[in-house]
Amino acid sequence: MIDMKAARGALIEESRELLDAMDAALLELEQGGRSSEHINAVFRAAHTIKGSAGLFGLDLIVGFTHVMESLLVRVRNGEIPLDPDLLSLLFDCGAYIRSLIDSLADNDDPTDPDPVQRAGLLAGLHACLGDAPALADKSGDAEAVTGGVNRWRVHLDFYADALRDGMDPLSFIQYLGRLGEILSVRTDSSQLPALADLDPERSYLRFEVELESAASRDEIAATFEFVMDGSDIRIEQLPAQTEIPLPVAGEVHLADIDRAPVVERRLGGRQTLVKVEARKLDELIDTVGELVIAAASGRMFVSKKQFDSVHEVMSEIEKLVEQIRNKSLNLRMTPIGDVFQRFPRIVRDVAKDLGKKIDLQISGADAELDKAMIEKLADPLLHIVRNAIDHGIEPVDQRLAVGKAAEGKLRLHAYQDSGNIVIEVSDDGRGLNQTRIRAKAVEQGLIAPDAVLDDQAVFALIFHPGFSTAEKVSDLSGRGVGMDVVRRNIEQLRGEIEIESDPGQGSIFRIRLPLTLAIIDCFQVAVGSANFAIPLELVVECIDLEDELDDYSIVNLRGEPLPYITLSEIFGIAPLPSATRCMVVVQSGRRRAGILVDRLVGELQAVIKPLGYLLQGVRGLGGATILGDGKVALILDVPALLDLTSQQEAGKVRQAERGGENVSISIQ
Amino acid sequence: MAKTILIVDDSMSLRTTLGIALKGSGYDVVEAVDGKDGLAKLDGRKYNLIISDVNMPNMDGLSFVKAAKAMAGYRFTPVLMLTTEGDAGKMAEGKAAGVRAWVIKPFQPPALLDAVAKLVST
Repeated sequence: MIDMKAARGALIEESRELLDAMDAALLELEQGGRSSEHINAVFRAAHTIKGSAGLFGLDLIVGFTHVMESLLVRVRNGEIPLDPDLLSLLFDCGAYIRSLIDSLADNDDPTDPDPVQRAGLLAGLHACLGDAPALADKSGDAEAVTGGVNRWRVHLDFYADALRDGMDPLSFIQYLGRLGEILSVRTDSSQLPALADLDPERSYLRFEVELESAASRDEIAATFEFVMDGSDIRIEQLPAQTEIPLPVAGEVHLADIDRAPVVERRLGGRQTLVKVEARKLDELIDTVGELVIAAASGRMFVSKKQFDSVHEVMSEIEKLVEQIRNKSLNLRMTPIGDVFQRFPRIVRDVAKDLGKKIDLQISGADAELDKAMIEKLADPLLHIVRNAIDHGIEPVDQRLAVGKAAEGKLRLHAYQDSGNIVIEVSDDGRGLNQTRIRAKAVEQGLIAPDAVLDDQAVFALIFHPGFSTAEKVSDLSGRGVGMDVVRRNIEQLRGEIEIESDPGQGSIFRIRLPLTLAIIDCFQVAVGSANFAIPLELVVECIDLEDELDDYSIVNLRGEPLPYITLSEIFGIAPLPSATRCMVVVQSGRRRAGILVDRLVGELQAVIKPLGYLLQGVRGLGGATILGDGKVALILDVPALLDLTSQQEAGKVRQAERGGENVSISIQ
Repeated sequence: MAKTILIVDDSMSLRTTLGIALKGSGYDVVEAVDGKDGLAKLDGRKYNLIISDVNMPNMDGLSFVKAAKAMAGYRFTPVLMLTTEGDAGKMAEGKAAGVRAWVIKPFQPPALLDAVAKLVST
């Protein structure tokens, strides 16, 4: 059951989409001049947001969008020219509405995020409209209507076409019953013609209703607001009577129903909505239907003890369950374009602020990704894009000086790569400055001055908390909360980020994410009595170890050194005293390592359950899943484990160096 | 038998909210996302009321209502239009097409339920 809370979520989501569409249309208008289609899109955004916000009594939003709408109507009619100033104003209005919507998302009772801006924008809108700003939003018609119960007689003679228009006299009379007690209804059929002359679609009957009600004359008249025009409706007050009827008891209003369970609902947390194509749902339901049939035939074969056929049905059921799994996961998939489409606007604004020229290219917007991930991806992407414009792409004069086009190229590109979605943000700017990153890292004590680092290792330094090379802290980036948060967000999505950069040629930030967060294919291993699951897409191979392992946590794999970690050590589990131990080789991005376990179990479809409160902070664990036998297996967070190997390796190397041994390691 | 109401509006939140309010009052609700979709939903099902927005993509509310009123099965179905104030021209056009009931946006659900109660008998 969807409740009002969810409806509010829908309002927020829909408003954001409309604002995106509005921004897109405004951009088009800015570039291509006047087009009624785009003006209409802007109008519709304001119009729809106003209408929806009105449903929730959000006067802050209604009051503002109302003025915008009035202006846009006149722009649409060609009465007011759409000049660059007005466009700019509308962009700002969109941003302001967005901030209202954001505050709505955070609070039940939104407050004005920026009353000064609101006043400024409203003044601007009114100036365009050519009228004085309204001093106050309407104060509501709180005119108290009190008074005793009166008796009324209502004469009703509906207009001739009332029936044709679907106006049902009965429903209006019933409605009168809500205002009080209907004492009598008299039907006057004197106007009915002879049958031969009767137009069956015409309204001939007249009614006289006697009503006892505390409502005012106007309230009674309002019952007939829709049919007033052309009808003869008269309301007369009858002399008062002494007896006063008891108030209606036991009446429950919709508003009360909405109010009552709210506390309980709040405990349930915020609901989010996912839009699903109807076709996808239909397909899913079809498949579920097939499953029901298969299950029924399975039951039949069991009762008849035809076990061969049961076998057959079982494999059919397994196939259907697999299909349902895929289809239901698919329901959560949303095109990544939902995030990308915000960027033209953002890039335009940032570039304008910084006085740079940017040509934004977007491709692969139809690649699909889990809805939950798309939302968490927006912020990191935003950060990377802002950085690229602020730090990556040079000012116009510098670009011209090195022979580049004045307009910097920024590209957002998404594509699917086996079980991953890859999102690239690339620019043709100056690239990351390795020397400066190194110097800064040395200054902050992150690395030794003489440390030998490859490109990747240097780039990885920018993900360190508090790391920033920006010489001057601009409004946009360089606040020191930056790339570390980006990396953490992406790792929370079980993703990875890597950087490629050529000095003078530009950089590519590449985010690699799994397609979904809900179910993953895993490889199950055991250490002692504990079970672990390793995401299958990260598993390269499994090897049996025969050789004794040395102390340096490095194993020789076909001539290549491979760092490894011992799960039993990391999680403090007593390993089985068995002779053979196995190594699962995992790779994440460019990093590769071995995970030493007691036993390989096999493949497993893991439905990911979040870790409980106690385990949430444990590095190296990404979640948990329940095995077929009801036991719990912990899902390894491989990128985090790989970080552990790097640290562990660094420690071991230092040890080795102190010991005078000469060990050199390179990680693939 | 519960009365059925067709809601034609391009705003999902409006449809959802109205849907909740109407279902809460015991009506069955069918939703359509624009005039075109609305026509597709006029597939022989009986509606006791059509609630339609005016301004919608693909097919606007008045075109939709005119088309509906031209269909034998829906000639007499009452129509409630949701509109913005100052659409006097639209209201006159609607009246000619047999639309009498208008509710001005923005409104709150109780106001709409009130209007529905005037139009749909129980």
